[in-house]
Amino acid sequence: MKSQLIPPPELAPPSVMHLPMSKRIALWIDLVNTGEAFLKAGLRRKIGTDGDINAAFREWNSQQMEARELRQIQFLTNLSRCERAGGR
Amino acid sequence: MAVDESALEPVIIALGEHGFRPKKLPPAITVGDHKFAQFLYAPPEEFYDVHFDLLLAETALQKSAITRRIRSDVPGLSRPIDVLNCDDLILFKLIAGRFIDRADAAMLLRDNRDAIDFNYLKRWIAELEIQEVYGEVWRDAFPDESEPA
Repeated sequence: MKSQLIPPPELAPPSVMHLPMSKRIALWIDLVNTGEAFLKAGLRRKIGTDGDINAAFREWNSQQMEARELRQIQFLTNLSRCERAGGR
Repeated sequence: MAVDESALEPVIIALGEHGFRPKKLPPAITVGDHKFAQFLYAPPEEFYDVHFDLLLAETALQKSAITRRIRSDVPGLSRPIDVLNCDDLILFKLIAGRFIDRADAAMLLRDNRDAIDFNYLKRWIAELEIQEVYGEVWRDAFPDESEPA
């Protein structure tokens, strides 16, 4: 079975490796801003036109921070296990 | 972060002077053989906290990653920043192990193949006993090629 994680090379999006760093960073910023716009549009739809979008964003951000903490703990648990497996 | 727990206090004080505050007290959280500290920071004119973690580099892999860091000039910043070498980033992605991390590792391998130090990568993969996940990632990055010896 092939390519379960990312598209196979023939179907992958074009690489940005040939671009200068400044252009790659500009693309990344654009991606982040687009994601934020989608997020806020989703939150607005959820809370309605009269809802407090900043409060909704803070609530979302708080949930993300808690999830992030769990991911960090899981990562360090994995790292400890791997290092112990290697006798380090 | 290239400090151990005994040197964390001056870091916390310095961060505090610039508006960063620990998320918890005491700031250092122990997980297995590792420690990390969490901080909150509200950027000027923003209405929410940014959360970030500082991992204390106290084990061999983390210290190696610190040693091999790459200094990068980033447009728009007045000073260079240090980032992980791609080899070490791949290792940490493999260890993290979620689907998104494995996908990231596969794309990092594919896009940076010519720059990767495969001797270093394979040595740590063996040390950490993560050959299975690496094999999966390699097959996704290069479906028609065997791993380099």
